[in-house]
Amino acid sequence: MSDWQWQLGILGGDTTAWVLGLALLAFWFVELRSIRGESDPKRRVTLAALGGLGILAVYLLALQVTLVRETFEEVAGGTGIVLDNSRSMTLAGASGPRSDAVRALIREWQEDDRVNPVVYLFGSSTRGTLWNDLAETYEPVDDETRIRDALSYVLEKGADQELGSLVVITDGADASFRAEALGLDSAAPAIHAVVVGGDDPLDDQAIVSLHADPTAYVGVPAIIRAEVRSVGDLRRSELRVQLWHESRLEEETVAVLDETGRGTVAFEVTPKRPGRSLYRLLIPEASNDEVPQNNDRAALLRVGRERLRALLVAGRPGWDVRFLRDFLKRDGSVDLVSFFILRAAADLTAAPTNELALIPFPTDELFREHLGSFDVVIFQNFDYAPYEMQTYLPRIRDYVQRGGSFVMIGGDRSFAEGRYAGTAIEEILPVTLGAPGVLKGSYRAEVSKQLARHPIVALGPDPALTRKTWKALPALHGANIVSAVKPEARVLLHHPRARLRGGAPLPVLVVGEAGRGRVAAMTTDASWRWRFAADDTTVGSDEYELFWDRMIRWLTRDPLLEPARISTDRERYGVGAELAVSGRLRDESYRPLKKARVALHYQPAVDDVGDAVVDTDQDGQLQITLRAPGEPGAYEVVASVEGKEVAREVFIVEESGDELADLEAMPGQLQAVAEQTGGRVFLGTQDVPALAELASTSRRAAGLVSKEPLSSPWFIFLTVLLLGVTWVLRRRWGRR
Amino acid sequence: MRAVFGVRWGRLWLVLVCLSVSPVQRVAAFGDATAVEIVSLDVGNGIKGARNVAERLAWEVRKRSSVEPILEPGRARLDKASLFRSPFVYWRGSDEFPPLSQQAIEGLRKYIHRGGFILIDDATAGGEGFDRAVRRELLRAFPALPLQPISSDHTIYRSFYLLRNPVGRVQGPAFLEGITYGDRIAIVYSRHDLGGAFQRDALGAWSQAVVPGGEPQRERAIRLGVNLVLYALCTDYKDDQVHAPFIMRRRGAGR
Repeated sequence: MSDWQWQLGILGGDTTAWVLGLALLAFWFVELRSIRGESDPKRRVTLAALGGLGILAVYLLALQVTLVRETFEEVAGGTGIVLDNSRSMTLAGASGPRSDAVRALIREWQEDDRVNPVVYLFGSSTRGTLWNDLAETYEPVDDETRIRDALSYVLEKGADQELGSLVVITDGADASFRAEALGLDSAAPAIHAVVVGGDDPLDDQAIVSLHADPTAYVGVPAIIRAEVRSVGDLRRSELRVQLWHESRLEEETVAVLDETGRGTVAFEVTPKRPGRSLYRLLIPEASNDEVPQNNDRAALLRVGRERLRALLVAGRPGWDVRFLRDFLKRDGSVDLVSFFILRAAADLTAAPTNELALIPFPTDELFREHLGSFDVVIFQNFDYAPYEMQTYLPRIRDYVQRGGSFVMIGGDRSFAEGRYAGTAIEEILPVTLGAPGVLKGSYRAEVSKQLARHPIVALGPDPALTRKTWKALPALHGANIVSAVKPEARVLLHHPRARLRGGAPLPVLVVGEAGRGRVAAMTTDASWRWRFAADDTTVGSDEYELFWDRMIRWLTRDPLLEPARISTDRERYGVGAELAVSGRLRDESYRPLKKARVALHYQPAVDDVGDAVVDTDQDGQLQITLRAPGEPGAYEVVASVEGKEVAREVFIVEESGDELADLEAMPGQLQAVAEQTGGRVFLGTQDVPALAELASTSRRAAGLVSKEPLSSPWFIFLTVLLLGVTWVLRRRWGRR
Repeated sequence: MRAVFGVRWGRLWLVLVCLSVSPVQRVAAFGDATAVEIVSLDVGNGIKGARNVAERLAWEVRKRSSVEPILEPGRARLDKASLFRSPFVYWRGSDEFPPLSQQAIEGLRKYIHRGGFILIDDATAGGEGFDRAVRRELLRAFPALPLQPISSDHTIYRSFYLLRNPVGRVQGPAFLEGITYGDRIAIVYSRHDLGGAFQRDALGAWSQAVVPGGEPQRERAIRLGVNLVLYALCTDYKDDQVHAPFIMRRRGAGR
């Protein structure tokens, strides 16, 4: 606000001004009407003009017009130094490392004790540091360059410190920085920039960024796309990019670069196995490449199956089988292979084989050749004995213990009724079987109190609503009787009245782990009743699908259903960079791990980084910042509570990381900042003047200046004179 | 008198033979509530004949396949909760019937929506009354889902037996009709008096002659009945069988 602005002092403001103005205008018209009879035109014009001017003068007096202007003053201000602490400052140019040039400049400035600046280091974050020993302590290690965040932070702080000038010392390697994003106004201090390395063009070929689908699927092509660039003398060289996988060169391509030296290359990869798959992109190193670290970057693909693969084996068709199969078939995320025993040995089909649409049960194909390809195996009211499957049961056990999943659903051919007691299947089931036995009659399964948050049974948003929902579901009928629940297993649903021999409620749904796999035992064959119910008031069909969807996803370890999860703030880090880990931990009953001591370590282990320890809060949330390993590679950060692993997350450490990927100094935006604030820009440290010579005054508001030009005695006299002359002339010319 | 006795002995032998080939009566382990039950639909007339057919169909399915239906199935009404005792309903009729109540229409819609299957069997040999009434009521309940001929390559014709065309007690049309709901046929309408080929009298003898094909046609009708029950229980499972090797190869071995 540097110009004069006017204000009205009249009581009531604009409204009163309008009313008074209209009233005086009307009064003038009345006056004009009164001189209509004047025969002399000169007199008529004179009286009209004088009357109008008098009324206008009265109006302006009444408005009390005030002119206002804000003033500023220049005051002696402090000086701030904003120093780039990112790893790119360690790069060596023709005249040595950038950080050495900075130290030399600081020492030179420190010899002049007229200025004692405040100092901020910036990189991943911005923080204050001491001026006196800055030259000795300056060791750039941050893994990011955030010029905008740093300047915003310092300008906000500087308002309190009355900073007159800021000197930003950086290599300017922040492609995301834009001057206009700072929103600088005239009160901002002068911002000078020392662009270290700005006088020393870089010769570099680099993979600037890497993008890959976070999740890929077996057999489905995925794209890894890289932005590359070439600067300096290397602009004239061919830029070749290679794709490596498992120490094998898969593909090589030559990048097509635009006029700025930038280009994009894309590789199509087709993962062959589920799990994590590491791909490397490599630019063969040129002899004059000043930053070879940014020639090698990695992409980690989490490879899953495009769809879950489920094997459903049923001892005979029934409604429970039909509804579950329909659900799994409708689920677009599941590839279902189902086999139903349609005809037993005793059945009399009354037809030769060629008139039957039946095929032999392909036990060997399913349980020897393809068993490992299934994500979940479901035995639904299936007894193995008639099909000579004894030899396959240990295979199913081994498949589960290696990481597969298995669920047995009840019926008169399941559990002990299916003669599984003492078999390899009993070894993996979460229950022990004992003697055959079934329970008849209808009942409503109840959710175990401690496990109402478990995703398979959590049909409501909280345990109370979950229990209420389960009470409203249509009743179940019958259950297989089991002998006991295994120690590590969890009973999610139980019979409301029936008891095991030990007095515990008869389980209806038990889940557990077997080796690295997950298992479930559902002792009823009536869950289809939740889908096929008469009563509109009972909930059912949605819950049936939710229940089985969660069951399959939990068994196959859908990450979203895991009780504990941690994540890193990025997927890729430079060596030794700051790595933020956050997460939410719950116990195996899905209750928050409150105030738990969590140990975090890297895998593979890193010698120079020990376990970090952090406590969770009331909601089981944790947050901690670690230092990334010093050697490039793929790592996992593993969280453990009381020595037991609860969660892990994968990340990549690269020699360059994003920080060293795009190192071209970009002084353009810093130039714009300097122009806006009256600062100066220096390319390199050679010509930088003494710190005291850089402006150190600050501009601050000095208050408002106002004047009322129409309230002067002269204007009042003029008004009175006009009114008086008008009155006299009217009297003399015979008017009133 | 001997002839009279002869007839009686003959019938007795037939019963004994039937008993000897019937599978061991297995008591539904968890009770009847979750077992397969071919429920007869009570729409006001013909229910007695329908129950007889449902029992015979249940018996044939149990004897020939691994499915173990309840041998003395119950009955249900469209306007009562009893409709939901089983997802398989057998609706047999021969006479025109008055329009169903709105409650019955709603029950019919809900039953199909929740997964039920209805086999409608016109017991007349080309009569129009029952056919007209059935079409009228199905149009009321499912105005957007018309009855359509079921193709001869549909899974229904290979859900257990390999069949070429539908037959019942009479030759009837060369096709079944059906209403497709979602990805399954939820209502099958036969105009072949399918149940007539199943019916037996109190002593186990066939109640009605099958024309024009005689006993071979009766066997084909029984096979169609078995296929329809297996289709209701397995829907397009037999299509899976065709696809399974392909899926195996496409996905490849893993883990």
